[in-house]
Amino acid sequence: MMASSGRYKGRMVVLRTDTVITPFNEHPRLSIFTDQTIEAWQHDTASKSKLELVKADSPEQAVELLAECKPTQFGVLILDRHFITPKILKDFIRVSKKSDSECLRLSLTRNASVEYTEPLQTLDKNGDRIAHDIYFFKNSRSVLPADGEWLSELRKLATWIDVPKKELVRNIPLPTIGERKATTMRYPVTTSVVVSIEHWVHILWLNQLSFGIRWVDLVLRQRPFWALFKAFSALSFNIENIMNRLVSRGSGCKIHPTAQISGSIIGSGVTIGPNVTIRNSYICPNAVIQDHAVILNSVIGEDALVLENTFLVSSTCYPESTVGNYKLQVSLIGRGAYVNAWAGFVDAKFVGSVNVSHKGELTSTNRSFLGSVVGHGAKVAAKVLIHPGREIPNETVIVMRPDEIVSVVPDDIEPNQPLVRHEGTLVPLGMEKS
Amino acid sequence: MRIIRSAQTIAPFGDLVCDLPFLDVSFEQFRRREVEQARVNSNDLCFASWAFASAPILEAFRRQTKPGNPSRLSLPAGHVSRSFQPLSSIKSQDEQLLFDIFIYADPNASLEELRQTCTPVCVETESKTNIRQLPRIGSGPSEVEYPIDGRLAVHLHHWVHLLWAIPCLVPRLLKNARNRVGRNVTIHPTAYLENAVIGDNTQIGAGCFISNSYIGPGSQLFDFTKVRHSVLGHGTHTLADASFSHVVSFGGATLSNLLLRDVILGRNCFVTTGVIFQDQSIDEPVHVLDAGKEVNTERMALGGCAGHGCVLGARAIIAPGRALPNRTTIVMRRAEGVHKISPEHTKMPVCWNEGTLTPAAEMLSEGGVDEFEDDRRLYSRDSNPQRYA
Repeated sequence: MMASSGRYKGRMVVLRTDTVITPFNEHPRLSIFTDQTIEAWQHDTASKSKLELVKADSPEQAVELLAECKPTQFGVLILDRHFITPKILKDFIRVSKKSDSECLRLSLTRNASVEYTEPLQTLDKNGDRIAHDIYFFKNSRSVLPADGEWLSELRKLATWIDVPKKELVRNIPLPTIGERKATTMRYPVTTSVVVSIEHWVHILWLNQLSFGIRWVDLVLRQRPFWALFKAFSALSFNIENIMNRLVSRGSGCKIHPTAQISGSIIGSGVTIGPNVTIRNSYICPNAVIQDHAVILNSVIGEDALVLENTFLVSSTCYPESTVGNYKLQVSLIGRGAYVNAWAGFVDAKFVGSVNVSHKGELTSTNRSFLGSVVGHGAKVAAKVLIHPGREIPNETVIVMRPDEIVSVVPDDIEPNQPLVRHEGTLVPLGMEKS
Repeated sequence: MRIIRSAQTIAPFGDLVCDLPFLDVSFEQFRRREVEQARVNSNDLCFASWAFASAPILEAFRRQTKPGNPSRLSLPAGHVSRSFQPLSSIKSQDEQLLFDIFIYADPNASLEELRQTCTPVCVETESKTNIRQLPRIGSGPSEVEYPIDGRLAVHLHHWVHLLWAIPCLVPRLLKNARNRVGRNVTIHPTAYLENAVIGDNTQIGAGCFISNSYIGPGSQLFDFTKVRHSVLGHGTHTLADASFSHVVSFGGATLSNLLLRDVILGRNCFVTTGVIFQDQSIDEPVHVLDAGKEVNTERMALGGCAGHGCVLGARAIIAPGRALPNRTTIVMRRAEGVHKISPEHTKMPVCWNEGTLTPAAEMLSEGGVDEFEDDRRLYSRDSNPQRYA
């Protein structure tokens, strides 16, 4: 750990945790958000906020590193499982500096973007407010000395400070099942997001918010003049026409003229086939999207392959995965995983919310629409139905039941005699019972 | 033009290779047409009954051969020419592939004599190709390269060769046009055609998308049919939202499949929506039966084959590389259909079981996760049972 240099305004200490995301069996810092891992994202966020990022393996080390700050510098402590956008980090630092307290904790008033990812996160709640384990220390003197229960002491002592944020909320109607009241889901479009990634659902939900975090950021902050020019060149006030123009394409993309892309970011070297529809999505470099695929509000990882006629909604595919599903909604596909056209991931529950396994127990996600997760390198190559919220472990291979697929065609088939499938072959109708 | 006849038929169709449909005509007529277009004196050429080469290759063969010198067609063993080689009698020798097509050969010699006496002439042609990405799983290749300009030489011994070769010959009918549309064709304004050949009296519905494909005369494609790199013979009917990729159908078929990929169908087949030809292998390349033996096709993506007049209903699922004989009829297992529905079934979540409906919770063995608990509670509270009756 090097001493902090003059060009940094402060120091961001990332405290190691031993959270493991099942079924991937990997640390949340390796989880992906669009084209980056959470670890890389933290580095980017720190450098955009002019903070020096240092890692601490223990609370003692974190205290040491925070105490090393120069008197003019402030310290920020976050956990290594935190996803935080530069916008909210800057706002947190801004409001903390104005405050009289020495040690402050990031808190948020509950709104759509907080509620979207709230279930299963470890948060402290107080009425309408929630607080993350993200702290601000005015200077090195304000850091508590380390002891065994340092983090829980900090949780008690730090002053909660509300970080203001703006968001646009789109109400998305959900399917109505039976004779019940119609429900809507509040989908936030915002660049102010903090998520503590502790479960696979957080990776999925976070990537579902990438339209706000990446695309809105690109259009409003990174390339506003480009966006303005593009929006004018639509020569229309229709929002859909403007969205069609606001597509960022990387270099070396091969995009068929009949493909329809709107409000998306396309990485470099991406191949997009005829009649493909992509809306509000993030396509990472070198992905291949084959003919007639439809990708709505999804993230497709680097080098991933989306086969013909695939229909993806609000899903996330890790790099190098292959998806061929006729319809795949609200699901997470692991690195190098393969999902065949006929695998059915059920994504809705008639009554109640979808339960997922969390810390060894079935826990409610407060959502009635959620698919499943496929582990790294797993292959789902069969016509199977997977219950909502289930985890398929890494390297699992699911194939057809040998008695359900016709793998031996008998030589002595009588023409026009009705046959049925039976134990992997075909037998005359009625013979399957014996 | 001399054809060395043989009694070889293609399983499971049982037809002589010369009589099989090849785009708009039979294989025999198609080959003759290619020879006529090649500006080669047809009397100089000699083909084995299964051998085929398109006109540009025959013309280059004639140009690169000394007149009067008995020669045999050979192509450099590249990705494209090699991709048609599995299961066929194409011989590899010194990085070349030798075909049973001869020029200036002895008109009375047998095939074996010709193979031995004629000197191979390696024909260099530049071919435009396309790469098809396949899932990167298993041990086989994750992409296939195929020609898109109709330059192709192939031996037809097995149904896989028909499946691989016929769609690649659509550019021979296009002849550099963007599309070729026959007479009396109705095309909905929202349909999109790209490198498509449409036969006479065809109807194409709204939102159809046809690329690199041949649609035979008298076909009816219902709305939103997607046809890609496929050949659908004369009189094919498709139902709404059917989708075909790398498919060959000999004609007269009624097809409603949501996704049919790498499949070859004989004449007058009927395939319902639920039928699945599994078309991707997850561990090793697909094997097919050839003369009773399992042979490696060196392809990771290969569906199946259905003979003439097959009727495939129910939820028939066919393993990759399997061929159904002519006039196979597959129906639903009686136990899988729900034949009996009693009014009691309306108060709880039920599922199919042995031809009827059983409460879903009863189907679980001891220790299973009862995910239907919430549902049962809700439905048991229902004070108005008549509502669902």
